[in-house]
Amino acid sequence: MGTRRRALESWERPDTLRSHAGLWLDKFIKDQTSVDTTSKRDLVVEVSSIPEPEVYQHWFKLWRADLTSCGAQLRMAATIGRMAVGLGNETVLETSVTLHRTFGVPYIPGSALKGTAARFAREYLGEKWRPRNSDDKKPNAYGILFGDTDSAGYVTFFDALPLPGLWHLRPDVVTVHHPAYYRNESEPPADWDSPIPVPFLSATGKFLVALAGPPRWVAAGFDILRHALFQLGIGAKTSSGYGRMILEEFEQSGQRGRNAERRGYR
Amino acid sequence: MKARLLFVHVLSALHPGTGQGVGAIDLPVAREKSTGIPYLPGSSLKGVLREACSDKELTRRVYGPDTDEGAEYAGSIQVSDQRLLLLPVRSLVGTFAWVTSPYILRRLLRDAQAAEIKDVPSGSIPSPAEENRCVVSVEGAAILRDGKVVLEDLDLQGDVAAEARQWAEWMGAQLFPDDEYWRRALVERLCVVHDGVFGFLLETGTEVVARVRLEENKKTVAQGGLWYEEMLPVETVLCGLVSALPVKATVEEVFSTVADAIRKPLHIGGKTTVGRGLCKLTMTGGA
Amino acid sequence: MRTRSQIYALKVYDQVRGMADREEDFRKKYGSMAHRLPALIRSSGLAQALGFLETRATREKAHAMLLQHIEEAVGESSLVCRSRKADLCEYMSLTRKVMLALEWYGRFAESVLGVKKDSNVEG
Repeated sequence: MGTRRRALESWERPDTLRSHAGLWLDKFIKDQTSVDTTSKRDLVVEVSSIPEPEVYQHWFKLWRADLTSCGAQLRMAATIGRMAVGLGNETVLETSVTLHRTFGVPYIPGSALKGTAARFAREYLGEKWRPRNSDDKKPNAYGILFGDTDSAGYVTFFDALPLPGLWHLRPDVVTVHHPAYYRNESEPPADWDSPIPVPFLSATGKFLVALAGPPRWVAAGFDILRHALFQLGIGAKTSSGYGRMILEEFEQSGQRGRNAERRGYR
Repeated sequence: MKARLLFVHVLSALHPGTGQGVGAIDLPVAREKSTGIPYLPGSSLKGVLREACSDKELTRRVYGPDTDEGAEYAGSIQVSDQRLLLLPVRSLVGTFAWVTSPYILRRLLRDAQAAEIKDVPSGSIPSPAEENRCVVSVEGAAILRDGKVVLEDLDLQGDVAAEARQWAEWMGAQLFPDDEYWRRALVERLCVVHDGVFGFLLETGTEVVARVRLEENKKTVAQGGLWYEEMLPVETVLCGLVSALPVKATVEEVFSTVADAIRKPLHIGGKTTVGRGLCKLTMTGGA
Repeated sequence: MRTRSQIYALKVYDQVRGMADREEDFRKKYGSMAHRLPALIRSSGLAQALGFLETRATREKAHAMLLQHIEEAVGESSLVCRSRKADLCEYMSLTRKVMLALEWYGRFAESVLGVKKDSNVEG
């Protein structure tokens, strides 16, 4: 017997329903008993088959215009391999990408971008780029850009939404060799643990990265982010090569000041 | 006193002030005590509007003196709490629905009358007959399939009603006056559910974001470093009133100051350094 | 008259106190699942969240115990099955009951069993 509500058992083919990828992922797995890995495999295939909602490209146009009109600088980040940002979210899958609550498209939360950039700064950029000691009176570069316990940072990291039509969700599998160890069950990893293939979702594509704040600090933010995304990567499984991205200029062709495109705001 | 109707349209997830923590969520959104409806406190919106006004002298006349100058005189503006009007809810068919309820629409009607808006739908408020039914605007709506609407994992029978269409068109005209695509989108996606079902969606259907603080240089979660924040998702619409009580500024000055301030999107609520709370405001009413 | 929350509080307190002399591993698994369930119900819905718990319960005594306790607290002996078969109204009401009870499991897991919300135990 499946684990879905009976009233919902007959719904199939989320692609033809133009469904919401995140909703299907969260609530429409057929069966999630642990012996049934087929359901999880089917689930990630179904979720990645769902097309981009038609409304999304219209929304994205406005989003871009709104970002520009509130002074944000735009760049584009392209995945090199695959990416799985979604740490800590409760889903039926162990690892997952973050899917947009309203549109179901994969995106990179601003907090994840900021976190990766801040980590790169701390680890590779020397003393000025570490959180200051509590006896230092003046904020240092790290504090100004990312903020510290006393004040918020000067630079805003917006969520990075995918460029319409230029992204994919992909069915993926991670083989967990030492499940008990990774669950922190204090048993050391042992060779006799049987490897378990765990289906999950990853994403590829191009994402619109937007930062706002004083121009000099925004430029520094992009610089750090460019190195961080290329060298550290973002999200889960970066040690297996996931999450590496190239940050590049965003073509502005015909996008400046097109307020007429906005949703007719007065 | 003159009033206008304000709409707050959420462009990036909004955390409008923190309410009482209940169980699962560490940082819930502010809710009305009696109804549980999320709202943006008028005082915080007033602060944002004040901040957006660059003319110091005008700011003082419209919004009142800076707090440290003492209250020699009151401001000429009143901003009410902005209450949730449309909640975008994930829909099994057609990705998302803009969901509201009869109670919410009745309150909107009252606000619209206070703002002397004449063209507000005068007929009856669309109301589902039972808890397991909902009202949509048109046959073949984007969220309707075989007479059913499924919001999250809630199955509803969808009925088409002309009143729902009138309300969708009227709200669309206020929110997107010059954009036919989005007016049509609201007609296609509006879903009026029973007040009880809406209450359930408000409890369970908002966005909850897990936030983690990692231990420095490690990838494990720091002690006390996992918490859940409740957010109003992108495409949420809130509404309320802004009123002018001429003290030092005239009615015209008050409304034109607000109109100037809302030309660009505004940052509202907490966590703005990770891009939260970008909102576009529109103001309608008066003549 | 007592509110439903107060009634749950009493029942849940007795149940959780009964777990206090279990071994640490059991307490941790019981407590951390109690902390985890509300978020899981919000994201996956009651039916799927209970399906998840039911699956875990076949392998883990602590999870089986928690499921049994929740069933007793909300007065529904075959809760998992009910949650799947329920019509819309009953489904919403069951969800509310379980969420309300879980507030108390979370609180008592912390105060009685000493299991904090972010204790990093799954399983």
